[in-house]
Amino acid sequence: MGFSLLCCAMLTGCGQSVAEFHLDMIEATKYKVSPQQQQQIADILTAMFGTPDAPFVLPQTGLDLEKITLASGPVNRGAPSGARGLFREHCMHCHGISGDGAGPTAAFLNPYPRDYRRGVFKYKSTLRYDEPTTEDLLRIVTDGIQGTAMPAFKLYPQVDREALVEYVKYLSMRGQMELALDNYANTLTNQTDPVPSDPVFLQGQLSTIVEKWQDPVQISVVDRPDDMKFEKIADAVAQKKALERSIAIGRAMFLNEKPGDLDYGGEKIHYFGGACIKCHGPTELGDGQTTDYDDWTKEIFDKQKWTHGVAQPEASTLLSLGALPERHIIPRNLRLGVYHGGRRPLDIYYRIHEGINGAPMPENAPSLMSDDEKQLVQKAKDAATAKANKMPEFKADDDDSDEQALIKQRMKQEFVATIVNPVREKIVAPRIWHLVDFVLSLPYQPGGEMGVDYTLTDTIETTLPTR
Amino acid sequence: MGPEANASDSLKIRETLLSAKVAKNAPGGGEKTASAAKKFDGWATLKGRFVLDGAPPTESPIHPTKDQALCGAQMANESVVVGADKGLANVVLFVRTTKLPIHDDYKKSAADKILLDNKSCRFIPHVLGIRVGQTLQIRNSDSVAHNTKIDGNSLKFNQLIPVGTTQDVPIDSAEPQPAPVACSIHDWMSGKILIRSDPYFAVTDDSGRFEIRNLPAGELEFQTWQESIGGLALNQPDLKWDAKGKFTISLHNGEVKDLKDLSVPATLFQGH
Repeated sequence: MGFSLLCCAMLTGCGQSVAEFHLDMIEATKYKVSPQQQQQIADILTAMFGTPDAPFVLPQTGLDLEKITLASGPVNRGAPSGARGLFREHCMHCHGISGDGAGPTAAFLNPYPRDYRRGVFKYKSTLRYDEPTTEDLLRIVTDGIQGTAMPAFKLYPQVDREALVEYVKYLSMRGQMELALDNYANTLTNQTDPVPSDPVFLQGQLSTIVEKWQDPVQISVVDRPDDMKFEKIADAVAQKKALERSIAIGRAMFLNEKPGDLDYGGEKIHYFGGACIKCHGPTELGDGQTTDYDDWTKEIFDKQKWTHGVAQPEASTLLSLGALPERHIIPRNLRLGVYHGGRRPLDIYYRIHEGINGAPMPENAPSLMSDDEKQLVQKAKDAATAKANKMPEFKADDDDSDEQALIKQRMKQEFVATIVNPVREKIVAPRIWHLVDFVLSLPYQPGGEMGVDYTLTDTIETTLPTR
Repeated sequence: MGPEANASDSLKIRETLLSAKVAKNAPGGGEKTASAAKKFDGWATLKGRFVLDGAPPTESPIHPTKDQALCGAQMANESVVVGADKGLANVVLFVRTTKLPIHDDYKKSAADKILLDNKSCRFIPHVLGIRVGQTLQIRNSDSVAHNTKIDGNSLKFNQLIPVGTTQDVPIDSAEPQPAPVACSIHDWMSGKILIRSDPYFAVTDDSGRFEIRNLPAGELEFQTWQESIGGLALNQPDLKWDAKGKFTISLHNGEVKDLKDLSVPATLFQGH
């Protein structure tokens, strides 16, 4: 591993040789891609996306080549048309020249930098398995990720930050295309069967990737009910009581694994059971489950993922193929007051509602409903689906390609979701806000990092910020 | 790390990409499509039994690290399950040829709910087969919370399944091969889910047996799959097997083709 890092530094840091993208050798090994097929894949990716110095995008991707050009290439702050090489100056040393999250400094960091190549990003405002919006990525670049080595680039011009975001999307799409080609190579019978480079095939594969980036669906956030808009309660005593009640309900929900009535000191509320303590621990210190991995690590080190006919290599082989040393993912210590995805109540709402893509943190919104409530939501969904089935734009034609059919299906699902979501969110939202209130109160409770007794004069936002 | 791209070959590909006029409904080159020339004349049945030839691989048992009161201190590793009669259970067999006619018999189960249970800290069944249009019903029959995490190409799912509850997941797209099923809380739990567009698949039972009825009679390409080794590259002389565990077979109308015992050499499992 040390040797390969040194090679990376020499290739891309000292200006001695031309910077090149490299293939994901772990995936190539896993999917039994022969060296000949690897060469074909490298050629296809260069054709479709260019090189680190000379990027290229097909119009189909919807990417802005001007922004990407600004971010690409060798570092040159004095370039007459504007500083170039932004990615290599600011990002490459952690995120790697190919965006693999394994740049020269990556091994020293905990957590490791993001590997863009699967198009999976953790901290966003969209549905769990959807891509982030450009604003989500811009927010990460602007504000950084607290609790990690990702810095804030707030002091840099907007134009630079937008260029970097575009370059991240570019590297992401390139990585997703590579994975699609590896997957395809795996279905070929012989080592000598070629990976097709005909436009119909390539553009078909690209279209499924691009479609996901173009219209990610945002998490619908329903504002707090009026009795939970605490700063609107005029009387100070009543206000404190209302907030404490919400926190107490949130705490009872957090601590309860089994269905039953919540023990929070108020009138009866039936709860279906949660699982927060299984990972975050009954003391919220994040010590409940420390042997799991995030998805990027699982792809490499979990035997369950090596099912394409190739035995999982030894750890040392994996490291020499470009993996960083194996590391478990630790649930958040909620008493710290440090949240990777941001500390606005809205951010905590997103994390609880959809979970965290790429991490073990599950979606919780669907389970925060009783059976009756689930049936109500199902009825709304059935009605919406019946309506969508009659709409001509979602109808799958017989001569549609597989990718076309998949895109239509996704559009239909989104249409149904726009009708169903308000019904579901109205039920689920107050319950999530209770959990948000509890989580955000933890650093201020005895035993929390803030170390002071919690009072309402502390600056915790209790309303949705205007967006 | 891997080959460097060949600049002139890449340029040629780029030129064809830029000059291509891609028809709106052009096929994207997914799974093998049954060409217009392929004819299916009637229906047939395929059955057989996968049998392990040699000593079963030694799998070390799993030691639950959580909720031992319920999950127990030890449980069997289910990645290779061999029956008393050497039958290889949980082998998956499915048809790769696409756009096949569906026999009427399968219409009544087209919207079925197929149960995946979290029970005693295991997934039951260990390997589940389901078709597009059906609903996956995930249940937690345990007294501890589980989250079920499925990582397929299209089906991606990670939801909390509280104690005693059920979550319905509509199945709308097929997967090219079985996808892993896991629980983040009880990280030793492991299962597999096969999702196909047609009903022509089977998962072998405890004796290694499978039977697929009402297959379109004609030439079909099958894929075998076992979770430890992927495709089963067998040496069975009657059928045309390839190195990735696929075989092609021609079935006639009304035929009940019994492949009998398909011998799986234990050496295939070495190193996995």
